[in-house]
Amino acid sequence: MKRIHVVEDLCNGCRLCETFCSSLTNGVFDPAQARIRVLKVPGEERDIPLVDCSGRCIRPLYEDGRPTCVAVCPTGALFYAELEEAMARRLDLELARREHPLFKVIAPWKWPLPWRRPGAEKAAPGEGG
Amino acid sequence: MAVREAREQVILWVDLSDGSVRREALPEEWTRMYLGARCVHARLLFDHVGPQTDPLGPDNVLFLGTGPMDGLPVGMGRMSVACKSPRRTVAEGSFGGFFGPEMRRAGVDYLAIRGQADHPVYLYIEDGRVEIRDARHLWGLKTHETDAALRRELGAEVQLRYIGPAGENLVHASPIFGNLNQSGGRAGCGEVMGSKRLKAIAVRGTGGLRVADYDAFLEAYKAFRERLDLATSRDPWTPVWSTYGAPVLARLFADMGNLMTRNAQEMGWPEDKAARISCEPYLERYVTKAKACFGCPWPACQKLYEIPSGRWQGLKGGNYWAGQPVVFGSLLDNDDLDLVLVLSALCNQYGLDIFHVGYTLAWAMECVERGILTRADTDGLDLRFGCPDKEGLVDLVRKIALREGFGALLALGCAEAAKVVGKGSERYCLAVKGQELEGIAQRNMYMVALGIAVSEVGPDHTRWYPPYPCNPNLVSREELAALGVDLDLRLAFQGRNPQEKGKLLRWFTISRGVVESLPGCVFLVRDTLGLDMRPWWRLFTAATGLEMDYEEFLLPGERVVNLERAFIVREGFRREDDHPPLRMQLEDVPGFGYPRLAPEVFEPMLDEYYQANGWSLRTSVPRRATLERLGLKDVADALAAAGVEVEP
Amino acid sequence: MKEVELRYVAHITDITGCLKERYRTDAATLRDLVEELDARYGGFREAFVDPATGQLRWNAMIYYRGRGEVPAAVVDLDRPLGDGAAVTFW
Repeated sequence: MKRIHVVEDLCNGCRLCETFCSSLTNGVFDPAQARIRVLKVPGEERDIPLVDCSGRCIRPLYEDGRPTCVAVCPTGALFYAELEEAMARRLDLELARREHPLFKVIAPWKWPLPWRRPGAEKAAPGEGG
Repeated sequence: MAVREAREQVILWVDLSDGSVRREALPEEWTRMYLGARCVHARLLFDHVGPQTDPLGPDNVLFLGTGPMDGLPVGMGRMSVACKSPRRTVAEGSFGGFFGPEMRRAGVDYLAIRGQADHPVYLYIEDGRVEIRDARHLWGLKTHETDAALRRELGAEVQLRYIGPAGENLVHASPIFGNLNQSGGRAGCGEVMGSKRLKAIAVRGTGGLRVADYDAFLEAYKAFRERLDLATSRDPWTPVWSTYGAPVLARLFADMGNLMTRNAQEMGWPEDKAARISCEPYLERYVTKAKACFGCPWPACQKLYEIPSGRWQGLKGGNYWAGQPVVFGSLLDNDDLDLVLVLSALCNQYGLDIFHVGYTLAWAMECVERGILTRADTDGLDLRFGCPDKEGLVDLVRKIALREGFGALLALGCAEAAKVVGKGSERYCLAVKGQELEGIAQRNMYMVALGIAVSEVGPDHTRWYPPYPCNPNLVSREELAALGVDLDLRLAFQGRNPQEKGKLLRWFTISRGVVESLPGCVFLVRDTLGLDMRPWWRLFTAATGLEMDYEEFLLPGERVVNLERAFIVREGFRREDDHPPLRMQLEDVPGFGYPRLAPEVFEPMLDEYYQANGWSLRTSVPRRATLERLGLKDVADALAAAGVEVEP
Repeated sequence: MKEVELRYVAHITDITGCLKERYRTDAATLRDLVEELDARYGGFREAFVDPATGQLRWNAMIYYRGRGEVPAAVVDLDRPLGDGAAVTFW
């Protein structure tokens, strides 16, 4: 079953997820009504998304099956997948990071431009969109 | 706290002398004429503050304001801060983070703070209620210490704006800070806040915001987002800016001979030095995490960093952008990225403006080079280009914030410091209207020269940036015609050609004026070169329910520039004050063949700009016909009543 | 054989693995150079060439600095490549 997965250290704290979530239920932008909240640790050194939701939006922003929070997240800190895919993605992220500091700030699955995968000789297209 | 309509705009007037608080609702007519944020502030500033107002006295008003788009995920948490600068110009700046949305949720869209407290205070605002609280225990704390202390007292979710020791000590050009590394109002808003003994403002809000037409808003949002997302944006800067970051400009500018070197005596800082302080080593060795403002669609415009090793191991900072590679890099001839990032972090911690510190240090270094200042003057510090004494330089930043020793002279800013020192040192001060330059060179890009010279807040590139799009075809002739923009883009973007610069600057200042009044983020207008504001217009009309056509939506962009110009001409500024620093006017750039900005080059650009704006060519005062066309007849009358010559 | 200096900025280093290099080539135009680099590193054609128009992609940049000249932004991929030029890929 697909669920929303969180990569905490990719969250930049923008709060797009909770802002849209809140408004999609009743047309009012009020994070207190959201099913996902971003906790900002005092000192703002960490931003931690916490989810209480199945991922099936009452009214999704895009008609592509993605939960809205996942769709609006700019870094790819949120993704919607089954367990096996989630494991594969996290492994890709950890391996990619060792060679590309770019993935400190964005997820490989979000990056749209070509890049060289670990172990590959040549760059291949980015998956992100 | 109740749900409010996004278009509602409420000001709280707070008087720190007598503790009074007065709530005022802005009429809807104001939202239509001025939008919010920067333009509303320009109007309020013109109405409430004038030549008789002592900038550091009780009658100056410090405005902090949001606008209809703030709190919605398209305002990016931007907000405006404004007051009269101690240099007598308008002091208006923008910053982001999360304070603006929290103000909106608290039911307070604008704060107008006048008076002076007799001891340090902070404001605590919760769901519309304001308390003036004792801040003696916070006075003297650095910005990040203030942030931590108030979050311990008030809770982790509180949003804050504060000054550091520099603002408390009325150091020249101190900005206001918040969310650790956001800063705004470098034309003196921190000084003014310090003069009121206001250490911080804290806000908590529980309300919500409702847009007028939710369906239209969502459709407009999706189109807006498509223009800005990495995968679909047309702007070639988006992939770099939104990840690796703006310091990449060091490499581009080095290639172009555009990096001001050793106080802009030259512009040929070597590319291999620039590469050492560029975004690639920064991301690889120093960045710990991406950060963003509220609602931003970019992954990592901001980043947090930590020094990984060496003398300053463990020091933390954030937001290494395009200014620091110049002011702490090429300007001082320093290619040690540790030192650049340490100087930047300390400026943030002490509440100092990086441009004031960088240019004043560079001025002092040139004075030392020329024998105008000696080690006796500099407290024994070896203050030469190349930064031979890095620890001494770092300690000097602290001394500037605390006005200690040699730091006390530098705390005046380079224009005033040069007056104190004399001996021809004024020639080496790179400032306009008393405010130091920023990071972009002028002798290679004439629109920069014009833009920094005419700005009503002193040099501020955010009011028109960028001047050098790589591909004029980003906007087709048909699109330009549809937008009613009458410009030869090819000529306008030729760096060392004075033609079309005045007209281009006019269009840029109008579009940025609109964005900063919504409020929104000017980083996000670069797609279509900041000439197409229709996505913003659709968001604004859907959010507020106000019906206005596109031409009407652009008028506040003109009004804000005219209101700010009216403010400064009433203070006595004229055409003579709209010129670049002396060095740029008198010295050719060696090695690249970039000539000085001689009158034959510069004066026609000024003429074109004033002509396009409908201002007097002789004085720069807006013509009565222009002000009346903009619905600002009362401003024309006020200027005439103040003895300013207003041409028909 | 021409000798040129190639510079790679920011995310382009995630294709090439280096910041810059001296490079020998017979490529006549920038388009030919992009094809060569694509064969060598992968990713260059996708990053720089718009498949619909064959022109430089909107969201990419190339700066070309001829020997003794100041760098200028490239609009036309069919621009000739000169000996001693420096080309910066964004």
